[in-house]
Amino acid sequence: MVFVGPSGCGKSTLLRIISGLEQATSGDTVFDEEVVNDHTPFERGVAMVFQSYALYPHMTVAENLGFPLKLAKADPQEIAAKVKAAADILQLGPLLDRKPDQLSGGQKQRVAMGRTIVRSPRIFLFDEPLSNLDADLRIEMRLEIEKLHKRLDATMIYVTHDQVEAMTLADRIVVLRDGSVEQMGPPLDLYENPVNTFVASFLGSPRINFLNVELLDSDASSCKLLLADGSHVTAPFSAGTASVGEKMKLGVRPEDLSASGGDFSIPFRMEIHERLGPTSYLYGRSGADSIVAEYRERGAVTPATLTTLGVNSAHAHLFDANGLSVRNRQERVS
Amino acid sequence: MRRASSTMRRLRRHVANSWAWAVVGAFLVFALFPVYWIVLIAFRPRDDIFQYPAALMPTNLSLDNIRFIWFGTETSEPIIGFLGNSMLISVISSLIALSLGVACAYALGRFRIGGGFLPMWILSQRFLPPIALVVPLYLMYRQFGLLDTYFGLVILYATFTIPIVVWLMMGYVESSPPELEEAAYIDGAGYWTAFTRIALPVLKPGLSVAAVFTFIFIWNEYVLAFQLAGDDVATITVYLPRLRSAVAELYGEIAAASLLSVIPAIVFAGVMQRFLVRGLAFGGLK
Repeated sequence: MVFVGPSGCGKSTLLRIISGLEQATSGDTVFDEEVVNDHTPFERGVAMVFQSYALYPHMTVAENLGFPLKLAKADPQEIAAKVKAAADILQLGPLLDRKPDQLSGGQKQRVAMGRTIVRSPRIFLFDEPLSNLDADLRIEMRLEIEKLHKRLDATMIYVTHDQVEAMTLADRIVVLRDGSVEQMGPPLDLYENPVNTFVASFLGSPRINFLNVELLDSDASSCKLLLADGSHVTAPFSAGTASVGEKMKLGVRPEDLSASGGDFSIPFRMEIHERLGPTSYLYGRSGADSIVAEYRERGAVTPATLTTLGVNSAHAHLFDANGLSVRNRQERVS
Repeated sequence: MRRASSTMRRLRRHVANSWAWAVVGAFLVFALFPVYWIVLIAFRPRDDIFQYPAALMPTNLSLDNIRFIWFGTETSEPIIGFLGNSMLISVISSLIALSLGVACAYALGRFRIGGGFLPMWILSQRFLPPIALVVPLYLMYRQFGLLDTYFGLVILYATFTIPIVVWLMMGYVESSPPELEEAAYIDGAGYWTAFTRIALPVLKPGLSVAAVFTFIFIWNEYVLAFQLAGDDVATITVYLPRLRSAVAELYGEIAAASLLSVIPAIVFAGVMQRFLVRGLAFGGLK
């Protein structure tokens, strides 16, 4: 499970409430149908990897790993065996006698994960564990966490503001905004069926494009939309319960825009062509709306040769004036 | 042209450096000359001390002054007893002040107990100069039978130095990351274990600074010791003025005693410096 959302949305606070480090002002924390509001973090059986790693600076790696077992008054031989097992999983063997200040960022991260493994907790909690690492190491550690998840087959709750981490690591994503859950579900489900403009724009990189439109007409299988530049298009999906004349937003992801083809076209004034190798991105405007489109062809493209973009309507989304998806509104009404 | 301007620049820098050295040199002479003079007098025979004009360089060296204060005479006790009293009182008072002060600083800094008011109230205990309290303290101590006792001086000095420890340590507590203790809570530690086994080792550099401050403050304290310590627990600061007698100014002996009295404080500060390892707290983070 991944909690994702912008800074200050409450995802870390929620994680800390689950861990028992903070008390909720209302509501219950329930683990396996057991209310654990009054349980200490240890009694809850949670283990946590902090953003800052929080390794004990005066202890060696081995002592850091064994500390929770030592507190539990485990047998020294058992401690040594569990520390060794965790060290083997995370390739920490040669580092066991080092102090945290003699470790690199990635090594510290692995020690912090090792400290959680030795306890065999009910729930693993990760509070933005990769945010202090550089880009390459972040990918490497992300894969390590994924492997660990598969190997331990344990419940893991992961907090991040990085939607790529959320999409790649999650079985289920919870998108949070201002302390409220906006949407929860499998990553691709959220990506393809966002309930509102916030979720739609939070997931996906580059972000989804929003075109300001007005509903001219709608029936069960199509709708007619007036674009900002005065042209109108017919989209092959229903506008649901939206009424004629309503100001709406048409959400189209960059990969659903193409230089040719599509179910209908929108005007496009290209400003920049950014080449990344196999794909490139076209930045420009459609009327007053900023647009990013993915461009997979290798040839050069100029503003003169590209004046419209095709829209793959199967993946387009229509949002009402409050930012709610019309599909979602339909579901709520029905 | 370019060479000329570069020569000028060098010359200007040279002049500026010379000025800086002159100022630093003058300050060093001003600061260190009294120390040098004390060392010089401590090892000079009595007759040489009073010679006029005074010799700035050592001439005849003698250990008479050191011997005088170390072994004592019929009219003067050996210095060792006073050094012992000072050491005992300073160490015990410092330990009490540090133990209570760091726990208090941790509670104030980490859990915000008392808000902003309580830390300021604790510090306000030091706004009053000690001399203002001498008379009431004397009367109180006489009433409770605490005059001229180790216990009396120890609780007094501990009370006086706790605010310093609290304020010094609060800064260290606030700058040390709370995640370390939170990680310990998750690992199964209670508040006490997290404090003693995680927070305290991280606060060690701050503790050694506080230890040096409190020890030296107590070691050098004179006003309260002079009033509240009699012959039984007289400290080194009380002993030094006693060497000024009505019949003779024992300058050599005073210098020798001063010299011996600063040695423990210097040794203590030197030992504590070993623990002033910066950055220990941040090795486990980021």
